Amino acid sequence: MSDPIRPTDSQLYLARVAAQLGLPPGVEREIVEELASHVADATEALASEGLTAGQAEREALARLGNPEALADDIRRAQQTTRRLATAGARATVSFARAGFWWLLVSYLLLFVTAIAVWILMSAVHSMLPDADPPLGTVTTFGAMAFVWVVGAFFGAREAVLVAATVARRPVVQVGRWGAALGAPVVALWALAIFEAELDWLAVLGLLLVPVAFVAGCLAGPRVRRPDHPRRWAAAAAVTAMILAAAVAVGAPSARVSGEPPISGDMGFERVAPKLPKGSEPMYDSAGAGLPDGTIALFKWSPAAAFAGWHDLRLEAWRGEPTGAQGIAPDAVAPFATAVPEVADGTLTASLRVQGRPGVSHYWVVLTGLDGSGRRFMLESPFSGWTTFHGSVADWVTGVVAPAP
Amino acid sequence: MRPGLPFASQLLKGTTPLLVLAVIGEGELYGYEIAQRVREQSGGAFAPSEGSLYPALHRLEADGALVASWRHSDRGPRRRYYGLTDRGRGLLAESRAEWGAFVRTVNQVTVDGR
Repeated sequence: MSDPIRPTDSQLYLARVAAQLGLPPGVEREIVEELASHVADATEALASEGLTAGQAEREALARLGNPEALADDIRRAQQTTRRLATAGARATVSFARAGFWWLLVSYLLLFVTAIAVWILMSAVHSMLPDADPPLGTVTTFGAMAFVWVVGAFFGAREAVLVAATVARRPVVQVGRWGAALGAPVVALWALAIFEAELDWLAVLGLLLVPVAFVAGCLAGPRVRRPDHPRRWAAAAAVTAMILAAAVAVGAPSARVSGEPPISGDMGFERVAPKLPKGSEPMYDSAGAGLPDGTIALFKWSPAAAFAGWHDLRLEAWRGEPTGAQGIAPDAVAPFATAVPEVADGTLTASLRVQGRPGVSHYWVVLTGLDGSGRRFMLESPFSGWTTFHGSVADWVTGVVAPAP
Repeated sequence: MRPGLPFASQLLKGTTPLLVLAVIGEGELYGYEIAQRVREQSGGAFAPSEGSLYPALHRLEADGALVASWRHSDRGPRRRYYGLTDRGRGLLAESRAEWGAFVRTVNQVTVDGR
């Protein structure tokens, strides 16, 4: 009877085979199990021919030959071009499938969390009057970008494991190939091809997508596979529906109402002082953000009303993201300016306000210099909402080299 | 033939896939049974090296000639059985024909030509 603590010759032999194989764990396990069953059969047969148990085991192992050479031969036999080609296709499908499931699971979990926090904050609203329930912000695309990060990580992890198993190659090797081949494609998609309404959170999330993909390729296989993502998705979906129903029928309606408090002159002192009462030019004006949010267009007539003014400028300033607080505290200069032109007796100017990274709310102001060279605001500011729609590359370009 | 001779050993190594396909063609078998069956059917003359048997089995499986499945045994560990696929049956037929032609050619030189 063998010592339960000391490994048998067979165990040592098979451990050397496993160490030399370097294949995905599932494949390796099957090969070792098959060889173990062979050794057991051969040992039994040799023992029945009169050898002792120890002699029979050693002879059975000797017939299999050197364990490292056997492992090398088996690994080479497994690694065919056909399997390598199949592995590429299977990895792509696995990436899409696992990525989709984890995207769904993480989004639902995010949604559940948002609703739960919303309920909690609404319940304690009397204690936190300034708290703004985060449901709207958490479920915007900014948060969605982090869901893509989760999908990229688990999608890459699954693709590497499937490819390694199908191609019969070491997981570490396949992980490196996957990172080298897939990361440029994923980065191209996340940073240059994919377009959406972006904010800083979304840009950060999308920048992390290729990083998560590489991490999923290289480190993902070491992460224990979460069990049953479909069940998680179903559970999260059901919980989300229950919480959403609770919000609809019974959640406290203690949401902040009315306009947020307005402090001071809303930051317009940084633009220019207002004209003294009674000294404003007499004109009719019309201003509007165009329906697509790209341009703010203004007209003043008659243009002659501005005869005493020079160096007129239409300035666009970044506003507070909440919209009602005026110009953003850190805005020290307009993000866009335009010089009005006279046409048919009307002063006209337009500004591009869309596609400006970090600008979700803007204020447009007409300023000009008086005879003494002092700049004044010539009319009440006009505000509007805008978005940044584009890719991360567009965003970065907008930050580094803003459009005029 | 005495497998212990270098020539016989080389010849046997080259014919291992054919021998494996041939015995599996009679019915599904697991590794140890395949080695035993070859030994029995050759009257003990052929005993494929057990170290070359498994690489050959895995190569044939990877090429789509064999299909493997695990089965539990009444006694002892579960075993991996190999069966022929359609591709394997085709390969067996081709290999038999090639082997026949090879034997005839060798005979022409070594037996008929004397």
